[in-house]
Amino acid sequence: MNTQKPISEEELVPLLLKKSSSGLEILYDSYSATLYGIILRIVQDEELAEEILKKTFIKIWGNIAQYNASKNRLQAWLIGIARNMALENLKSSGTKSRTQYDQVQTILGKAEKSGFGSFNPQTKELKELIDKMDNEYKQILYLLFFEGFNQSEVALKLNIPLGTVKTRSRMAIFKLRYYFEQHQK
Amino acid sequence: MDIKDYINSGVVEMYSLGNLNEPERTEFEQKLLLYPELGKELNKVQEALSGYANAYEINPRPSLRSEILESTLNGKAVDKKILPNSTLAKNHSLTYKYLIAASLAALAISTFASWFFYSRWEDSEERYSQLLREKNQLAQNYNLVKDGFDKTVYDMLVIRDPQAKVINLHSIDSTQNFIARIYENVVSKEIYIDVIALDEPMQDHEYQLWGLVDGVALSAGLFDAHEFSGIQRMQEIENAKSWFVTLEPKGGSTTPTLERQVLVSDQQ
Repeated sequence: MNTQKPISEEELVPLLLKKSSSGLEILYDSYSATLYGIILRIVQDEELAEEILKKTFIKIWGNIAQYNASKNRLQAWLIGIARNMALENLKSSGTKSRTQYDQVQTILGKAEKSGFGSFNPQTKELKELIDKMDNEYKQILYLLFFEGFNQSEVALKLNIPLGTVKTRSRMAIFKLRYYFEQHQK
Repeated sequence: MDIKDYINSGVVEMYSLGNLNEPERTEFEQKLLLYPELGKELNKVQEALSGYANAYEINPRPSLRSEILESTLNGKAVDKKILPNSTLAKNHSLTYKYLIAASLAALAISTFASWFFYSRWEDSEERYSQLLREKNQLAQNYNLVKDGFDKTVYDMLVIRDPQAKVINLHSIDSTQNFIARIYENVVSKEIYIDVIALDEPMQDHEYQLWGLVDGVALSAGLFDAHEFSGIQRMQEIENAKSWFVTLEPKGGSTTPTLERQVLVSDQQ
């Protein structure tokens, strides 16, 4: 997370544009765990996730000139690329509605315990916050973010009105924002 | 749609989650250039979602680091190595020279064209934003003028009402030339005051209007001393024999401070 990164996003981007290999190392050390976490959650296969992580970095490296700081924060842009690559892979393998939410948690709990879970204390704190969220918010956020569902698909899957999905997803993000406003000043 | 309504529709969250379709996304990105508050909102939502992703981070196995760094750096180098082809180059060196010259010329032309159209595009983009800013400014000015006009029309209606009785107020202190007018609508009983000339009240004080009914002073409320405030509506007091204005501490008083009388109605 931000506090642990050796340099800021604003300093890192010019290094990447110059194709500096130390810039690439910083990029990897700062973001690989987040991106890998996303990819692994989406594809649920370690070998495949590693392959996609590799492709993600090649894509980031090749497309860094297209990054537009006025549209996105760097991390949001990186996450967007990793998510899209993993979700595309999922679509092409034709398995969009796969494992149930609870089963996913079990699979990932195992991956985290196998030794490569996060060591970052702030991450732990944030995870506890998310764990404390009501299941109805947690589940919607998870489906939207990690499963790449759109709101109508979530409504259909959970058999609740679209308006409820909209409200709950906004509320869930509000809770996260509130946490950041409290902890990052 | 007002930008606040636009934000409240949840569009920022949808954009950040990649849930918008192409036209919606284009619209969002255009608005992003025009409304800084939208950018701020996007930043916060993205920060929240990045934090969400961070919370689920999983470190890849350590040996993957060098593999990925290498393949990323080499991914670029490999592409470059494919380009030169020495045997072909020797056999067709002349053709190659022409091809290279032609492609260099094409490159120069297309570079120039890209630069030319890019700068034209940037110009139009800037002029477009400029025009939008001017349009917003004009809209704001228009609203101000319209509000002023509406108020004036309203004042005119009060003054020109055939049922309005006009009561003049003059200053108690004969050295001052303060003037105000009360319009009392004899049918609807509404009371209005129009300040024509009056000093600003001293600090922490306000002017209060009183009506005298059967020897008792009843408050008709507080009012501004600005001449440009226009006509101000006061509380209704029926059958007042006379009217006067006092200077009272901020918030007003329940009984008038008679030694601070400023204006009094003419004899009727």
